[in-house]
Amino acid sequence: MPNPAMDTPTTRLEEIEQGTSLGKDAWLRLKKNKLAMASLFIFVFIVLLCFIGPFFGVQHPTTTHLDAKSQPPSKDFLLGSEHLGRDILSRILYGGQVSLIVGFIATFVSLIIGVSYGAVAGYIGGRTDVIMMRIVDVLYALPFMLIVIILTASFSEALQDIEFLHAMKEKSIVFEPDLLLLFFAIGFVEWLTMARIVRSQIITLKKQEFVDAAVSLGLSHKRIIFRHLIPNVFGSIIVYTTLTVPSVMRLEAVLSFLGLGVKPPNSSWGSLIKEGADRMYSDPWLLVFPALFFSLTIFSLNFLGDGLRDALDPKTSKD
Amino acid sequence: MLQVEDLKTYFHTRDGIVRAVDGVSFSLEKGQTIGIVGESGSGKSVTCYSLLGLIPMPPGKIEGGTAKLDGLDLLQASEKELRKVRGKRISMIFQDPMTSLNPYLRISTQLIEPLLIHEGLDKKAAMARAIESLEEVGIPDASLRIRSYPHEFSGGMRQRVMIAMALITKPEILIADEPTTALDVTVQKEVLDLIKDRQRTLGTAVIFITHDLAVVSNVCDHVHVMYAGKVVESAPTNRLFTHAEHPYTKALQRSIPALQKKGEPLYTIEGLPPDLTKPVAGCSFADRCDFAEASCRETAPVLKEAAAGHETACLRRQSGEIDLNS
Amino acid sequence: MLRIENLCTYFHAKGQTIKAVDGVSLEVSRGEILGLVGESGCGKSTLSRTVMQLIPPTSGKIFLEDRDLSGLTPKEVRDERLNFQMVFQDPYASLNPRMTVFSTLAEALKRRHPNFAGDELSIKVGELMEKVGLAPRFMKKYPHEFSGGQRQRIAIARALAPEPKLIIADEPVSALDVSIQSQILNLLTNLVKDLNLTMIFISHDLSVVHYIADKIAVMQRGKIVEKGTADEVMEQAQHDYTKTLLSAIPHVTR
Repeated sequence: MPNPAMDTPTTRLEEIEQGTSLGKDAWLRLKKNKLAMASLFIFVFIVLLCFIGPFFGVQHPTTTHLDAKSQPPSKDFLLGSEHLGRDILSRILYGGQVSLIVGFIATFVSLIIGVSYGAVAGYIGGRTDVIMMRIVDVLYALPFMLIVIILTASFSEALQDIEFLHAMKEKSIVFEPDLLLLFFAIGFVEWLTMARIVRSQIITLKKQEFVDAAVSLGLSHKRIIFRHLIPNVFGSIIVYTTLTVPSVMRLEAVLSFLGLGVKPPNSSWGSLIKEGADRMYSDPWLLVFPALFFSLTIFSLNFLGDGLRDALDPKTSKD
Repeated sequence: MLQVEDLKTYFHTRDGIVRAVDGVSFSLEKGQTIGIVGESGSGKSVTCYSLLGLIPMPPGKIEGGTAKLDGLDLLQASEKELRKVRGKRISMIFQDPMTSLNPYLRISTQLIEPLLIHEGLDKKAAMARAIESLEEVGIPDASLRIRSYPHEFSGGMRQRVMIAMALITKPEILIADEPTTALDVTVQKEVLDLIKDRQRTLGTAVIFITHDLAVVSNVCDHVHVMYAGKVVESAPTNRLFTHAEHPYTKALQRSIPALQKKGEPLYTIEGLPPDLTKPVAGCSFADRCDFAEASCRETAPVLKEAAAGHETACLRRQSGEIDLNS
Repeated sequence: MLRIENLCTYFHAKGQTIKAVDGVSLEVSRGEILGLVGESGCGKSTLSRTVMQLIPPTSGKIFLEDRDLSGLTPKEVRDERLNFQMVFQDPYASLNPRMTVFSTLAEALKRRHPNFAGDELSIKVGELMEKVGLAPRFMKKYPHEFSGGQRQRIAIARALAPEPKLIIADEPVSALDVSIQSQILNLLTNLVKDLNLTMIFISHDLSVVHYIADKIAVMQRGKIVEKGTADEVMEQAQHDYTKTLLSAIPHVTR
């Protein structure tokens, strides 16, 4: 704790000491959590593997080897090959790109909508809050699967016809119409919980005296929300985000498993698991390896989320 | 009756070992009221929580010392033995009654629980005792109010319920941790009077933990002043206020606004209490003390008698170099 | 300088009307400290928040330097707020834990002087910190790195930053230790003297109020039951409630 004694008669800017923010403090605490750090390491490793791995001598996932169909793991096919002779490792890595991109983008969409919606409802309060939250309740009550099926079924055709998307999808898989629909459908559902969490936190925070102090300074509502309130709910947002990414990825897997999500020739972990499940008795490696990657990612994100929750919990912090 | 010797409770935190209580000794006789006075972080609450095994471990750890309650060492006692002591022989009341009463249970349920557990009374007898105990702490319509939930009482009334609950098993010792700090002055006076009154009737010994010197002077027989985990002065209450023998106590008394002339700057103790993770070689008050000299920073002081029953941990006072009461 | 006329603030809850502030009239002159005393629930916090324009009054008028504040538009209220600043009870809750001392103080300074920037801003923040007895080299630190007393100094600096005409201090020392209390009380009295500030000092503790205030107003159930100079109220209390309060103060018995 700094000593308040005045040791400099005038401000000498070069002598200013840097402080430790709450975020830095939480990071120091997280670093001590072995399980969370191992999870972070595994997660980063898988992400790098999926996105950088393909540049290092892995075959293209659509290259077929008709002379090497349904091979178990070997020197040529590290994780085996499937019935068209495509390399499983490369399919897992490319499929991982899709799964992870869906996880991140859909989460990001839900984050933006959920945080702003929840913060505004909580800050304004009163009747506005009641109306905004009833809307959330109604959306919650709608059967999610049905919405997604309707969305994909009715818009899939329409999106295929948009020229712009055709051009863009050559450059990046993100613009694949099926995926765009997935982002939208999943993000549309996932933001509801985020909005509720943020709103309840903002309501508690709003009563704190530093918010009164900000109002006394005549600051604008926008500044109070974005500068004083939202930074103080970052902790919960980060924790919930790390838990949303795996839940979104699970949703994508389920949808792809049902044939609603990613469609051939693209693949995701979900669709690979489905293909594997169809042949699990004859070629078990088709199921085991994609499932292993998928579970490891989900596990590591969940453990990381738990670790973050502990690290960011103000009750365990120094004061 | 209760004899605490050289109690040491440390907390092992990321920033190092916090020596929250560092060698505290005191004793309590039957029916006596002692005060433990100190600022936040002085270790006054940790001392008493250690006695009842209420320190969260980890990070806390009792590093040494004994606390003998009629021969039973509370610091070595098993959880089972402690459970028999807590609520039966030693009770506790806290600063905020709302956090120590269960908001989901009726007062009646919470009041008769210790009677059922510790005294084996049947429900009907326990209920009668509970109503009686509420009447004794001055709650009107006790037989009706006993059916209420904690939030239906005002702050002062809630503290009365807490006192009734703590005293219902007629414990030998009552530990009161800042029981009036959260209350208004008029209510504070009533609650203090109530504690004094109940103590006289039941013959309970009381340990009063507080930061408020004025409260201490009104209720205690003997006072221990704590600073940075150690007792720095221990004296009968009257003597402490007329003849303080430690510079810290003296400074505390001088900085009370009520005792100052209007318009004159208040006497202040400059600086901050020391960082308990860094052991100090000498006296921990030396950096803020008006009387400190080089030797104070080298030798750690121990409590020594300055007058009959009056101990101080000031080296310069012990050697007779300074007189704080001239 | 500040004049409150027949101010009422009512709350409506469960079909009942709670008269938190019920017809309060007060006057504070420039450079004066008014002590507002009362127990919890007497309406003293609602009164201060109404004066601060944080809660709208039900009826009555508030004048600052003969300007009526009751009829202002929201934009005018926002600008007028700079003239009133508040120091809160709990220095752990009154500072944004995610902002450094610098950001907190700079934000407040820039409300009055939007042009301050760069090194000039840092130097002004440093001056402000020195004014309240904090070393400027700690300006990049966060609230949790300071003790309770130091945080209260930061909160006082923030209140001073927009050069207010009136400061309302709501129980500013009751969450602090005795030895720290006197440091903060000294700081407040010195600031009021040096900067010719006007202050409303709210407390439940008559002895503290008697020490610091020029005038005392005693509040009970939303009404002012007694007002006068500090010595008058302490030594010749007229109202029964004031007498009860006085007799309840625990005195150090010798």
